[in-house]
Amino acid sequence: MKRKDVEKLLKKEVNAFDDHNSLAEIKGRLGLNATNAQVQRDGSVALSRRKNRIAAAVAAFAAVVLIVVMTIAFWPRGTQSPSGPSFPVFTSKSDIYALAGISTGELLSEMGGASASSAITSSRSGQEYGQEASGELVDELDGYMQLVDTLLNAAATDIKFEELTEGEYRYRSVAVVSSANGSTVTYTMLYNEEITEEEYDEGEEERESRIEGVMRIGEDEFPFEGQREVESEHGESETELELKTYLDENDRGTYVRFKQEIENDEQSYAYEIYKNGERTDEFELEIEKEADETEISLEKNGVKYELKEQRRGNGNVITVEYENGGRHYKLVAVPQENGKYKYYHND
Amino acid sequence: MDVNKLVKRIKEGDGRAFDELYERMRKAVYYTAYSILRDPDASENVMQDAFVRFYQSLDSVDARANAGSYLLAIARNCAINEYNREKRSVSVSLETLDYLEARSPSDTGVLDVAARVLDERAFKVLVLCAIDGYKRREVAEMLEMPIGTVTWIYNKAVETLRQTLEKEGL
Repeated sequence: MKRKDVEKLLKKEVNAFDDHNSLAEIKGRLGLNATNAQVQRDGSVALSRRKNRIAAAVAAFAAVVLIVVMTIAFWPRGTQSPSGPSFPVFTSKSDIYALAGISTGELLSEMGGASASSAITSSRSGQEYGQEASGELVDELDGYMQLVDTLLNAAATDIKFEELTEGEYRYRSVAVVSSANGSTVTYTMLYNEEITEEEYDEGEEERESRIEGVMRIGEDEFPFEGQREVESEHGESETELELKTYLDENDRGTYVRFKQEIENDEQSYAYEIYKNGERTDEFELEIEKEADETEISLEKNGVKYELKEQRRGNGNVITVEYENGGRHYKLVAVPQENGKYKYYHND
Repeated sequence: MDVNKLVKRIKEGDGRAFDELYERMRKAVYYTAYSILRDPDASENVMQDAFVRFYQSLDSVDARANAGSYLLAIARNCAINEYNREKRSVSVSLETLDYLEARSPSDTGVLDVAARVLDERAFKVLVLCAIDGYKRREVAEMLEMPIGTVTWIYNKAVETLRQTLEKEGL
């Protein structure tokens, strides 16, 4: 076993620490969140005015994908980061970001009432497959299939980035996302990025910056904040981007925490969803695209699902593979007319 | 975000700053407790107690002091009190802790193995350096050690852990 493997194992285990929503417990003991209130700078308390325009569950999920768009918007194809040339420009990985961004458009189109535009449109019975699969893990996977489907069926996108000379924010990126049915959704991000710490020392460079801004989609505005850290040493670099996107500027307890890590050629996306200060969901995604094939790994509760799209008969299906209890499972997810999926064993 | 700056914002009444402080320090506080208790549930309880006590004593935290180190010191003291409470017949001093009693040779996770073969200081350095977002310099500040010492302890701890994992075929 190599030293690097030990460090990797350790890092994974240490950072998987689940605090079982201890923050809510602590704040309860301190009387800080008894009325879901926000303590203002002057010490007064203002009750949050939670909007009801979107059901909480849908909204939290939407926020997840909003952040995916942010990711591509921060690193548009062929455009340098605003923070200077020493930040990496991910041209070789840009397809992955574009792919992730397009999925958001698809999902938000659905939220806005437009018809679903998934490339998988055929509805078929399960006669050509094996026995129908069910169970706890299948149910869990089902909750993420729309996201997976959309990521796998991405279309083209166009992103523009500019530095502004007036107004509250210094940077603007506009992502025009096209869906398979021809409709487009425009995401405008306005933000400031301020370098908070810089260190140079014999070939080593560390840079931290703070990011703050808003994302506009139609009439809705979602505030976000976070930080980016880049460490470079002898030609190798590590980048971490962490963002919190709030569903409502007056409710800082409901948000999605997104973390992207890039270490040389490896990258991962981790999501945590909080509602009223309590973490309600967390999962990790990895997206790999080779030639024309896209593969998504979804890791949740220690189970890693590998998902790929495949052509079968008159339409596409999604194949799923995962290990549980020492056994390897192969499923095929077949889309139905109602937008849901049926799962069959595919051993 | 620097912990001292977060403390300043909490004192100024910024309600979000406490959440940020918690997010920034929760793992460090938890593993500080774990380095003594080696019990997840007890360490989580201590983590909560430490944050509550820290918040309640904010007035006494000097803006120029090392607030992160102070929080970890509270966590350590809470953990030792908990350890002594659980092991009433065994009194444990701040300086010397009998870890062997809390170790389980049957554990197979990397952290469990690290807890079994490393002393409190090495375990703490190893784990804090592994927490996402922490730089070696920040770990040194929190543990009030020179950065060179942290690096030396860390390298030695990783090597000890690697050899143990290899020897035990894990």
